[in-house]
Amino acid sequence: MGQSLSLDEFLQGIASSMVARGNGGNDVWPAPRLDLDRTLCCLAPTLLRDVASFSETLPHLELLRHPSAFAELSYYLLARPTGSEQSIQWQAAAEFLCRAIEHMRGADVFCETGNRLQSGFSIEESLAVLDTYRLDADGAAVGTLVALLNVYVEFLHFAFVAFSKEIHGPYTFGGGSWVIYEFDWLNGSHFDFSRAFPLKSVQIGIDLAGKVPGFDFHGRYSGSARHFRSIWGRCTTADGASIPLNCVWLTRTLLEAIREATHEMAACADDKLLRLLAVSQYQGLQNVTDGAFPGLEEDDLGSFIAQYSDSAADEWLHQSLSGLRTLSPQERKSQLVALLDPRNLSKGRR
Amino acid sequence: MPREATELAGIAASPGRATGLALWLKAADASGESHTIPRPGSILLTDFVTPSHILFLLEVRGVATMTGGATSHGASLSRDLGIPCVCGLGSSLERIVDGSEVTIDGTHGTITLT
Repeated sequence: MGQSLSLDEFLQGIASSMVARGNGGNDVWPAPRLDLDRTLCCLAPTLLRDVASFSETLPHLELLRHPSAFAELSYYLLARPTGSEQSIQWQAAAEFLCRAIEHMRGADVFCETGNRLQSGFSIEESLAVLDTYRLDADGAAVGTLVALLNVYVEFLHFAFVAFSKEIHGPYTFGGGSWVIYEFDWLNGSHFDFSRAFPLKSVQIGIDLAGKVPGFDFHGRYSGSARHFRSIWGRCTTADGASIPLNCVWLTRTLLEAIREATHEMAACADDKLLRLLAVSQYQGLQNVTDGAFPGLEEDDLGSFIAQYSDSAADEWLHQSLSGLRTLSPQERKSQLVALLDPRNLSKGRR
Repeated sequence: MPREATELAGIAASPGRATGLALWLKAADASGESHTIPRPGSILLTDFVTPSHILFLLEVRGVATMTGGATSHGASLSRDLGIPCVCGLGSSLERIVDGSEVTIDGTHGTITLT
């Protein structure tokens, strides 16, 4: 990869973030009904095969959006491979993810300084519409709204929220430190509760007046949306129009949608939920790659369900991950690098 | 004989201090047709926070979890909602029974049973 980010740097960066994620306990959110580690094992062969094909079919990385989505795809590398053909696909996928993440991030690719800047994002251009979308709301109302938006996208994109959510910054402008919240693809079609949702996206910019908490590589933010000096917000409706953010209306709309989501998810049998998981993964990838991801075939769904039923196939992953939790942070990082590295696939991971 | 106060230490995840009655709602019980009713002013105790907890989070004064850290989703939601949160208390949190009066301190990462 020449002067660019190497696969080794990529693996070290991802492992560091995973160790930080587990600091002080396991972060087991979301979707308690499905064991996501196990589910990822089953989805990985199909998805990594297609991600690997990006390196040939999607040379223009500027098509990609949402760096977090690609960071999250790195979790697929933990899945158990079967056969040398998959090993090759694993490595191709890892190298593609490496290139994509490097392309989409600013100078600090793994957010080690706590900044999370996106390449190609212009705070000047975004704030040029400030006067139109300036928001008059108090911190409690905005904090509640952002919490509800987070929960809504957790229901809608429950395995990979990163397909729908980005928080990035701080960007310096006009004496302020701006953090940007973006929630996209809010009216997905795979759940009833989201089909009639009136908005496609919500974008909120907050000037934190210099008090900027940190971000990490996977988009986790240690701050709060309650504390700001000024704020702007705009929405895109289902038919593509830009409108100012109406905090009270959107809070009510989200509460209603979340109540519906709670009932719909509870009424959903596990096998249907698994199918929805697969569909939502593909829709998410279609969204962040501007429609370039190969379509999901019915055969893929059947194969996915069949693999999920084979619990013995996941034993290796569970044993590996449970062992990591008793190690020191440095030991865990080393172990994760070894687990993630696709070049180790032929050295006894099977 | 007066009962001795019990203090558990965890990870300070969202600042603030609040007192209320403990309301246990584990993740597996939070989804769907939960029979647990949000009791305004309670302190929510759980193994970890899920999306289905949100309607409870809007009503309670604080949150304590057995797992998770300062960047967990439960912690992040608590900061946005402006309620104190202590994470990573482990299985010792289960020593607190539903309905007990507790004080949560999200600034210092403690929960006290009084």
